[in-house]
Amino acid sequence: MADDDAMALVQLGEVLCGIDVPPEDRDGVAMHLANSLRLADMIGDGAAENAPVFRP
Amino acid sequence: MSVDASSLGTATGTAQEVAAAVAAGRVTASEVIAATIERIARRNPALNAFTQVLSDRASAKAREVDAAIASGRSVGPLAGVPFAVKNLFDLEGVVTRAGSRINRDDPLARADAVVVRRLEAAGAVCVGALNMGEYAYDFTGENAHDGPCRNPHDTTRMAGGSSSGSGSAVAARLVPLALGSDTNGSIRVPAAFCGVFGLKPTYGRLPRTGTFPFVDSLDHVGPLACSTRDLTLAYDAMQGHDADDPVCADRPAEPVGTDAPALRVARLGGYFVGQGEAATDAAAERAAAALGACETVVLERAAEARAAAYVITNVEGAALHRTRLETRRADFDPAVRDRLLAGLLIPGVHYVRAQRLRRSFAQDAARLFARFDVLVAPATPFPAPAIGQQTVMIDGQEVMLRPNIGIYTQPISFIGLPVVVVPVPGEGLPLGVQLIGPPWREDLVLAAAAQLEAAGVARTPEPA
Repeated sequence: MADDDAMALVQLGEVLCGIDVPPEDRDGVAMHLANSLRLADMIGDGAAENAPVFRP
Repeated sequence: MSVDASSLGTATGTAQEVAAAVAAGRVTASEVIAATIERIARRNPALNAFTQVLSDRASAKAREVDAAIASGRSVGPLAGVPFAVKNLFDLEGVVTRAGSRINRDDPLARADAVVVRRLEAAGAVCVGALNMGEYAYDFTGENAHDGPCRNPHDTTRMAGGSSSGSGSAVAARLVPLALGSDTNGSIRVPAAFCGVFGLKPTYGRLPRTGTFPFVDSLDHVGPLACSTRDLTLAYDAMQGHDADDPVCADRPAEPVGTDAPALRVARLGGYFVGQGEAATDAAAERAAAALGACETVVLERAAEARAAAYVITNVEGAALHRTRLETRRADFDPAVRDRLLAGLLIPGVHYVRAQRLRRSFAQDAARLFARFDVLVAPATPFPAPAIGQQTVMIDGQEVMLRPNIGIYTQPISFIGLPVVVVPVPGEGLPLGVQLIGPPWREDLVLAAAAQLEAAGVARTPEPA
């Protein structure tokens, strides 16, 4: 995800999630969000179960 | 013959030796604790490992142990052994900081954490609370409020996190035993950077009741020490179901035996090779060879597992702290705050997909454990970085430091496997190696660690 997209997502998230990201935090939050979403894109389908409950 | 209490719990004093000396009456618990308090006062200013020293509490508990011995009562296998805990464990009458500024406004804890109670029931004596990364969201040991915890082998270096004080205090021989927590590597990273032994048990093995949480799906607690035997003593004392932690498995304690089983060992290849400095791979190779490993195997989808652990951590951590992010924003470490705010914005579908991967990835691991008892991998991709360091060179490329410290630990805790990190000294700073076992088989990884210790491959180096 491009940084611009991450910044746009931060702005959208402020509305959808009802949070307020102060201007001085936006670059840092966008960077971390972009990293998390890049990693999330790596996750495959995994098991077909619906219940996200794990026991060793 | 009496024993000099000041030597117990220092370079030659393991928890096992302290307990034996106290139980035999060669030294009193009160003498051990007084020497420990003096040692902490002398050495902690250079390390910043302790955030609170509980002299009165420890002295009172030591007197109880001495009184029990004097009256012929049983005192337990850890009689008079000093220990300390990461400051997210509740200690009665103490604020549970969890490395934060915000929690200092919380009321005093009304009871000890369950594992603290169990260690003290075995005769151990808690002497204080230890530095840690804010809310455990950290691999460096750099705390914005309490200051960085320092590595005893080079005080310009990181102790590792988030159980930074636990690694530093044990490595410096301030205490022979400490407790930490591990969500993505927070016992294993400081154990590796500081050159001590650390046990992350199976997810659900030890109760977390009375600890400040981070990521409920991934949080574990466990001990750090200077020997396998000390890890085992502490682990056995803490085992057992506790209904107040819904994750804690309802299974009986399974004490670790003293047998030396023949172990089937393999080196983990693929993802677990070549992502860091060559010395870390060499340390894992040395450990694997000493354990008779004759095969390298691949745990498929480890990179996916690491990514999923990252996402789960980000989302659950953010959910835990949402109210604080709204009401106490300025009191967070800005670096932690940015990560948590990002976690609030991750679409839910990513979290569910990350959780779903756990079971199938565990099945991948189970196929390897059908053939092997222990898998060997580096604990960290490099030894302890300098305090304040932001980037690191890997394979000739400069990469961000913080996101890469846990690349070898995160896929393993993602499926809750038991791991012992052993220190494998080489040239320079300590290096750690993960010995990974199947679920509920802490006995196997502890046996592997003991074999490496007996062979002289694993040992805790003397602090500088």
